[in-house]
Amino acid sequence: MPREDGNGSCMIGRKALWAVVGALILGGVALGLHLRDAALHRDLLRADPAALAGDARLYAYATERGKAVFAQHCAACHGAGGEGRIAGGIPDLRDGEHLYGEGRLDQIEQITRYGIRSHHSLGWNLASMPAYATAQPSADKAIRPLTPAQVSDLTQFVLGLGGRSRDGAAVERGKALFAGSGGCYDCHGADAAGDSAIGAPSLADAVWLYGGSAEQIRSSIEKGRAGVSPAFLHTLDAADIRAVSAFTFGLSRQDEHHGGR
Amino acid sequence: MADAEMLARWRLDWARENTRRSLTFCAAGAVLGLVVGGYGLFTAQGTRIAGVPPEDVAMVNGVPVLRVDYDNQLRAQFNVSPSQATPGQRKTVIEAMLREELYVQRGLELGVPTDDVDVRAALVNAVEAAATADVLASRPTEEELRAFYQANRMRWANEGTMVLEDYVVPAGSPPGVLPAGAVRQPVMQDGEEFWFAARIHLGDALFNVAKGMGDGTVSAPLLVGDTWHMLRMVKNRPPVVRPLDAVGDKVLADFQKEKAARLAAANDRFLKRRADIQLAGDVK
Repeated sequence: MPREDGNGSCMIGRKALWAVVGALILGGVALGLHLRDAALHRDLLRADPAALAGDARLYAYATERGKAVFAQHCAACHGAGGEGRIAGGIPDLRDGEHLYGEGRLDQIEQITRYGIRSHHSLGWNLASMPAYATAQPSADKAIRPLTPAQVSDLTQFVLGLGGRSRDGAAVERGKALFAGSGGCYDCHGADAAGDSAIGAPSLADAVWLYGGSAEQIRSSIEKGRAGVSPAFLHTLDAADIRAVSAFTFGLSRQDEHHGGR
Repeated sequence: MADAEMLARWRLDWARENTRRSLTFCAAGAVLGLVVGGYGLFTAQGTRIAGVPPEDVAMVNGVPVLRVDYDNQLRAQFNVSPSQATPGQRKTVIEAMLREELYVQRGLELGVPTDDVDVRAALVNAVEAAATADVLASRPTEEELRAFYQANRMRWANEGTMVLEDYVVPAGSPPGVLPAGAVRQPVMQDGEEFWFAARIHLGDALFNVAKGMGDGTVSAPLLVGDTWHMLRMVKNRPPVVRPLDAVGDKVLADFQKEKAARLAAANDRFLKRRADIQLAGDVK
């Protein structure tokens, strides 16, 4: 026979009541958390990317969410910590150097969404490094090939920009090529400082995406370069794109500057 | 006996009370289920019926206008971020984007893709590019990449170089030694050349002989057209295979290019297979 308490109510009924109350509390907590997450999600999408880093609550949410997205979609190429890899021409995302744009969060988001040479019409696709040791160095520009000696001179010139060449005559010949028939100035600028509007790297600093040894520079001149970053427009949702961009933005703003390579 | 009656009455009350409670719980559960289901239905990712989603700035006949495109347009047109833009700037941009979307939709209604050559070409390019973009977004495994590299290593080798002299010689000259009457030709007199340039300057017939010659050797007489040539190789540096680490970016790019080409061919086959294509008798 079921037990009854002093008021005549059944213990089973009371247990059920408590279970319902417990379930309601749990449900309320879950709903509250969900609504909080939904509000953050909505605010993240509606935020001005330029102002996102200034909103501590939203930025923390974005970077936390972005960290997981980065690990799943970006780390395979960029490395778990965004350290990059010279062998693949994968940039170090921590060094504060930006080949495309000035490193604003909205620019990073643009790259994440539409990519670089990704075959999306809104991606960055304005210039590629010609392959000067081929019959047709550039697919879309009238650029003449160079001879092995000219490639050597250009290599010496580029090394000389960092004070690493000992062949002054070759540097001078390379300089003439750079500013003349080689056409290098057109993208890299007359001062070789690069142009982030088209993704042309500075040749005068210590950051080398594909390595800065004489052999690596020569290889870049001979075979050309055209790095690719995929467009995640159809792979990630809008919130994940913004979140991983915020996380990447944070990587590039770390206090510890890792310097060039 | 009294105990038995009391127990029976208690069971009856208990059953009555629990039936009511069960029904109440059932009803509450049903209402809760409807609320949860309705919330999920109307707020799920991609749902377009709960107002304008936060990732968009407008919906035009159910088609979203992306907020990120709006933000980018503000920057491109006025060089301001969305939070800095004036109401006038915002209005200018949103009006332009709405107009564009309306015209695109109207264009589809009018069948512009059927009539306009440029639109057709743009559509074809966009569909091809979308397929390629999807390929680029997926990275092959290291094993796949290494296997591809091993199978095509020479593709990423250094370009070979050579310094060569080309002579026209009298017919019947002995092989391996330049005869007294040999006349040096003007090709390749500027020194070292890449192999690709040497092939262009010498022509395929002479280059195919030259690329196999060692330093300091002289070829046998070669008849090209109506003249006999002999080649003297000063220095020959054939292409050298480069390690995967040094050419990883190019290997990946070529891998993805080939994959995209295969995908494009598969797309062609798929589209043809599912289409109802009827050809006129004279073009079958």
